[in-house]
Amino acid sequence: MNAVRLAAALTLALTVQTVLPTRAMADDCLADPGPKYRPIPGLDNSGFPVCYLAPNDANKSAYTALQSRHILEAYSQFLSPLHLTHPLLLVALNCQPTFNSDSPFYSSGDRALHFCYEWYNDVLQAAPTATTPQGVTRENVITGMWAGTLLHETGHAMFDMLDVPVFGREEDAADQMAAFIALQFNKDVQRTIIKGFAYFWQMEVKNGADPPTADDPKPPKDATQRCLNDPLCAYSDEHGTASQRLYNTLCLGYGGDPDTFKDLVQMGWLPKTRADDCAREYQQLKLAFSKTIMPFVDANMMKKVQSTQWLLPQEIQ
Amino acid sequence: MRHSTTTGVVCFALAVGLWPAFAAETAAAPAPVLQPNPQIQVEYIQPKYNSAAADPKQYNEFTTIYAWLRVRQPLEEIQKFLAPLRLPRPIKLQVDSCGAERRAYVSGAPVTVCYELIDKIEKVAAGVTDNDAVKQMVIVGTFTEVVLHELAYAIFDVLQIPVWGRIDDAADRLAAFVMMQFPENVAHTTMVGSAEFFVLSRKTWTGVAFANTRSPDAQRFYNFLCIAYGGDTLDFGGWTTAQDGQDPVLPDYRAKQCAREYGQVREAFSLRIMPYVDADLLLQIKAAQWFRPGELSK
Repeated sequence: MNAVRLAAALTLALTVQTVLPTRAMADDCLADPGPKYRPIPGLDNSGFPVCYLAPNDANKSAYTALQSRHILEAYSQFLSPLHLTHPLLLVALNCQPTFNSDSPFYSSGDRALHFCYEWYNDVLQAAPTATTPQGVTRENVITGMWAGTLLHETGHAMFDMLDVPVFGREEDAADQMAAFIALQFNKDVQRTIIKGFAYFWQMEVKNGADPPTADDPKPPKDATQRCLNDPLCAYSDEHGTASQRLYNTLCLGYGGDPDTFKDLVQMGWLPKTRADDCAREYQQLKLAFSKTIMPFVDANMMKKVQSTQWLLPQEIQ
Repeated sequence: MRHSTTTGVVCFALAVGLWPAFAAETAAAPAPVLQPNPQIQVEYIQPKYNSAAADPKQYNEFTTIYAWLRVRQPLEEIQKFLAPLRLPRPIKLQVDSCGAERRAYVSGAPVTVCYELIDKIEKVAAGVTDNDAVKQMVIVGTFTEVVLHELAYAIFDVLQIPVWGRIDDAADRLAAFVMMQFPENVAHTTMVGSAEFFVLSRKTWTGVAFANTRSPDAQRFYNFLCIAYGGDTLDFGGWTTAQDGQDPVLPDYRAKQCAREYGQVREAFSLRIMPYVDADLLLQIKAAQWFRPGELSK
């Protein structure tokens, strides 16, 4: 899957409200937890049941990699301090052709976070093979994108289940949630997720994911594609543009920890005009998280989660 | 793509100049019999002429706007409109020369609407040469939106409201939601006028322009359309149907999300702002006549 298709997948409506068959499909695998997993003591994750559905042939390697590394079980424990009003099912599955998307999504209809095997493969394919001039490694991008995307979708789940008041655009808010949670961990984790996520959006910009600046001389017959090619209609997406998501992510990193992310400004990745506002933006987010999410967070478990090594050293180099 | 948002509404066209046309309506205008919110102070600051920096033509234009504002007193109406809002500390709302279209809100400082932006609204509206009703809606609707948008920053701050998402979009969505609470003719004028302004004044964004904390006008345009359609699918339903061989103004995939988007703002308003609102006074506000006859689109 090329980068533009990946970007298109990411800009699909990721919050699905209709009741999906996922819960019913997951019943069997919930009864069979799979390979033995040794959970971290003290992090009860019963609020986040995990399921790996059988893959198709194209997704077998993704299934094996995710299940053998217990990615969803680890994420389930990572989320354990969060007390949602209902269990949130974490399910790995084939998203094509059923959902016509490669991208993870949350569906309020069945309270499930869908982690697509296709997405696992897409990120591996999109990650750079060598370290970038900004010092972003292949591992940074892979880990940053997986973690950033899971946190983004978990943000949608929190907004939905906790009745969080969202005055701004929800897709931006979900990106903020991902960045804010990443910034509550050690500097290595912060840099991996923020820079990995930001790099991905920068790559999308380079691949032409931002709205066009001129009319398409030959508008496509397909209405959705015609809209994407139109310099006005392309802005109708409920998501921000790739460039906006890039700068929003960098800004929250710098606003939350200027020392750790000062290189973003020094190398010109984050323009100074925006950087000057980032501390305020981070404080706005901190207030929002504190007032609307923290009442549902177990502070002691949160400390334990913060002190746990979640990303392996080779992933955060 | 069809770039005009108007839907052929009946209008009270004003064929002559813009701001003077407002002033001409003043004598016959019924003012709402409501007391202003004592926690909201308003001021029109007289444009200052700086011979070293100012453009004399622009200074004259600002002076004309200043004169119109003093007669029409739109900020005084906002004072009354916000009478139900119980604020823990005062907010000052002013019109001033800023040297730019916007002056960023600073906690504790006045909320400022800039002459430069009002001037821009007039110039954008003047570009509508074929439809006086649209021209009027752009002026009335956008001015209302600008004031409510700037005030939203102060309300978020003073009430310590948690804001998820970019704050400028949040201010837009709150302004749009409030405008949708007016009677239908007023909601129509303000929402269509604002949306039309966004589409008419939009510029091409590339590269680091996207680092701006404010969103592109084209994006704001669709956000407004969505809140309007989500709040009233009947009145704004025309935006979702193809006409004259053109695609719908509001694409189908976004239109499907709009009821949810509107509901999200309504719920946020209900949870975080309604506790500071006097419900009895709110009903009086909704029942009052807020615009002059010549300022409404239908």
